[in-house]
Amino acid sequence: MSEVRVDNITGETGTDAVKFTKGISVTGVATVGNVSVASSVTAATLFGNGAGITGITAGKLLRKTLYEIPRQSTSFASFPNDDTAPQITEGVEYFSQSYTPSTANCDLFIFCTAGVRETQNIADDVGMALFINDQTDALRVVTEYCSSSVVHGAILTIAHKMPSWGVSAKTFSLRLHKADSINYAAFGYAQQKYGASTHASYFSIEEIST
Amino acid sequence: MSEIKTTKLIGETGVDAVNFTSGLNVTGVSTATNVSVASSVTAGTLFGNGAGLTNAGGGILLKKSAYTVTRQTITHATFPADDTIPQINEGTEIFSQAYTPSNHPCDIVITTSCRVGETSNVGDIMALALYVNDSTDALRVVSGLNGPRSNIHNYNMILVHKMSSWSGAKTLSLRASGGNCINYGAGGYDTFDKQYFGDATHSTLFIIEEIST
Repeated sequence: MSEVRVDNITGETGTDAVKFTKGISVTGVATVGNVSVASSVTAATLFGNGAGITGITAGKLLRKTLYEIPRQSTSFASFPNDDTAPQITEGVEYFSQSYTPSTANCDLFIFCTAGVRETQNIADDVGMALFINDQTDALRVVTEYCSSSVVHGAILTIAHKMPSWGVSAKTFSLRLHKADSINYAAFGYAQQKYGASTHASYFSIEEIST
Repeated sequence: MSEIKTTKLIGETGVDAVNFTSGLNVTGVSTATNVSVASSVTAGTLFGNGAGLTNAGGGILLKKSAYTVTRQTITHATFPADDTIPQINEGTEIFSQAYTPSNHPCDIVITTSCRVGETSNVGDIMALALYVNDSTDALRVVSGLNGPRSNIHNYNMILVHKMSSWSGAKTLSLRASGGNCINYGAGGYDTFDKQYFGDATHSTLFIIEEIST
């Protein structure tokens, strides 16, 4: 077996890198200041700070964040009874949340539920809508009819998908149509039952790579 | 061009590593048992198990599991009609599942739905609560009202809950209040809930997501 013992190896000019044109095999730890690889790094396990990793395959969940929608009473207001998109000044805001996407290269999937109910006889139909602060039109609306019964409301669910706007903050909000309580319990007219914290619901945002 | 042909390069003492003080340029595959990099690795593509990566950003899905909430008849029981949190011995248990988080510490996000109904006139107020075995208080509750004057005999519940993970196994459970059947079909006008549409197809899911923190 041949063997070369040397402290430092440099390229032919004394300043350029040594070229290993047939690959290199290291037993033990290879310690390097920076590694730049044109094609790929394959490892049994990758350790370290992955915050700078980009270009992940499309459709993967990058980040999921949940915010609580508290139980609350609200004032009463309604969206117009016509076929126009509800405006950000209509209805009653009952939830808002500032959000900064971690990347521009993703879609945002929003999912939320809330018990939308009346505590007194003020509505035959109820609804809620999702808004974002730089747009007057609602992004998404859901409704339910609850007249001629003793139902007095519904659990409403909104699912919405939109592209990320980049790494800056915008504010999502939810606005209520006609009802006067959020996440109250269904007890004839809506009432405060089962505990405020347990009867709250969630607003979730998923970032899906594109 | 100069060229060295040798099967081994080692440091001067015979046991230390060789220092490449002006960098290293490899054409072909570079194979190492371990690579330790002080600052950064830049690659076109990274392959491999990323379980050891830290600071990859909170909110990443680490594991998702789903369990079935079966169609079933249940004993009728109710949560107290007050503003106290339902207790783990109240209502009727309709589902339980032992769960050991694989990626503790992380967040656990639970999403489930089911239909709480009545096959006979047993209740108007339907509710569903989530529990974990080491807490007597419910973690989360949703409720719905069926309509005794409008011939509605059930309510579709959607429950979402977020909590911190734990070490080892704990048992999550769902308990229903007000009804006497779970995931039965809507029977039609003025008709109580029925076993419609198939047992398996009218079951629902209890989904657990492990989310990095």
